[in-house]
Amino acid sequence: MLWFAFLRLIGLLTTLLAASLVIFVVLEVIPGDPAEVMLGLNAQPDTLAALRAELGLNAPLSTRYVNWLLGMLQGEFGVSYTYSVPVSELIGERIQVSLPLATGALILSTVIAIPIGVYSARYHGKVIDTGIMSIAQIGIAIPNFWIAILLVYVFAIVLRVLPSGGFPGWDVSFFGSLQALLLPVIALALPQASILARVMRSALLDVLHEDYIRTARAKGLSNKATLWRHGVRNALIPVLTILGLQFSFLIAGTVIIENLFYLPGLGRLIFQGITQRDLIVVKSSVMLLVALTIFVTFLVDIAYAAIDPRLRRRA
Amino acid sequence: MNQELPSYPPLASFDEISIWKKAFHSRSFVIGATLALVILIAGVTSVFWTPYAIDVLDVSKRLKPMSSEFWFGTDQYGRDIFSMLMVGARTSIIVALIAVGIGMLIGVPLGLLAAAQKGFLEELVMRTNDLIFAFPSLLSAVLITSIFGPGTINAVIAIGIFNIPVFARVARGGALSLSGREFLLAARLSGKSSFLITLEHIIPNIANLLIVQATIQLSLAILSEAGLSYLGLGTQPPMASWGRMLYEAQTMVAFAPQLALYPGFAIIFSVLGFNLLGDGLRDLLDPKMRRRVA
Repeated sequence: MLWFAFLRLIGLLTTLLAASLVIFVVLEVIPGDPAEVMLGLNAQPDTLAALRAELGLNAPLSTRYVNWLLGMLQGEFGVSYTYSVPVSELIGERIQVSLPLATGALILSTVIAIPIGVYSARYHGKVIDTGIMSIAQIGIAIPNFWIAILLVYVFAIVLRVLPSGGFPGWDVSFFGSLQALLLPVIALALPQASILARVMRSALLDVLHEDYIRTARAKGLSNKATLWRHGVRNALIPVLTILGLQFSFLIAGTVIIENLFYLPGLGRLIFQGITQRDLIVVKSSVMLLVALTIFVTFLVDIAYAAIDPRLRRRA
Repeated sequence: MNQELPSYPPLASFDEISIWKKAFHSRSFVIGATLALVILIAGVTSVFWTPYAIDVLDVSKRLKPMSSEFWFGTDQYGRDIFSMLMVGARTSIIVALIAVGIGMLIGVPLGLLAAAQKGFLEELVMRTNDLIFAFPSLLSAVLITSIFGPGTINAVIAIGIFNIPVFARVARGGALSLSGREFLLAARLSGKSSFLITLEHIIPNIANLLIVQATIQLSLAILSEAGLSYLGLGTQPPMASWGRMLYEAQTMVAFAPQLALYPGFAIIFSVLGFNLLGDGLRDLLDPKMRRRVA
């Protein structure tokens, strides 16, 4: 198990390194002159030169890449060009919105999807199963930003019970912040819950055909106990994979949802950074999100191996 | 040498008539195909005819309700919503088809290459795949369109790149599952090159898998295009796009909530259509399922 984790850790580090190289190439090499990108076409030559010096652009590419990596390892992400504050500070601030948003959506979708999927599998082939699965099929097709617009219309404009956007900040108003995140979390969670419910159902149906389910029933275990203790527990492995994949979808989803609800999160930071051409902010925040995605995949792999010993040997 | 081998009927012709019969009994396939066809017809028709021109703004006709004159009413700029939905269908279909096409054209050969050439090349292709998967797809699409400028073509490229690893994975998996099968050994014994075997034997046998995956990727591509256009990074006005329509409707949601409904329904219909079509095709084409039905 330790050897497996070690091999995976090396894989994780290589992917991280490769990802950082891709981000560096896309943001610093392909555009040609980052200073020109940031200042626009009509920039004065002396302003350009000053920014180039400030960003250290006169150094060769390889030095800049290595410096960027070393800086990030020390928690030093550079200074934002538009906000004039350290990027690490910005990220630290923004992640207080994005992290609760993404984890809240992940938890909500799991809490909705697992009971529904189990229920549907239990009544497999019945009208209720067909009904639930039809709704889930439609749920997958719904874009989260459309749900968000409808939620805003119903809860913020018609009923006036929740804010349509904005974020007061945790230390200003804890309850208000929770309220501000409620609609975004629901909008992000519902389409993911539809996918997860379908996965849960089909995984459970596969498991219920196994011999050990018959054995459990034969030894006198009740239907319900068999379902939960032997069925659901074994069906959770494919569900875990999808959860890992969904994390990356949720991260991407925050870009749209944070924009829609005017939430000061990482996704909005990146989007604003891009529109304001603040490449320093974009470079490090994208790297952070990608690192987070890679790390979650790593955790899922490890969790797998912990659950299913057969997978360890394949490494 | 080839001609001396006994010729077996190609696998694809396996009771073709009964497949069509089954297709019309499959609810997923019928509903999915119908929805996809409606969107396709709307998109194709919009090339030469729409009820109204969508690039003419007429404020005197703004926010009209549904009527025989304007079937779905008009938006805040006086444009006919039905016409915009038709043009939006065209945008979605073109972006999705080309993006999925890019993914298939590059991804499938890479996947097949990885399956045929074990070792370093396979490792390289698969690790590159993992790398692309590590970038949350929409995030990178935002990155790409913002560096190279917003617009339909860059959106297509951005979505297309993320289809490459999907098809590489499916093609490699499909090809590996065929390895060691008798007909491949027979082909090798007859002196065919790896390239010819791949072309004549492996690709026809994994075509079903690829078609099903392509349908699902089409629906994902439509969603991504809508997302990018919603953020203002995809299709630019005066061309219409469902995502863009939703963005414009959002500012009006307090006064004219119906504006947000139509493009939303259009996205849901098309995504649902391609998803159901994919499900239906999988049931029909998957040999394991076929055996179960027969």
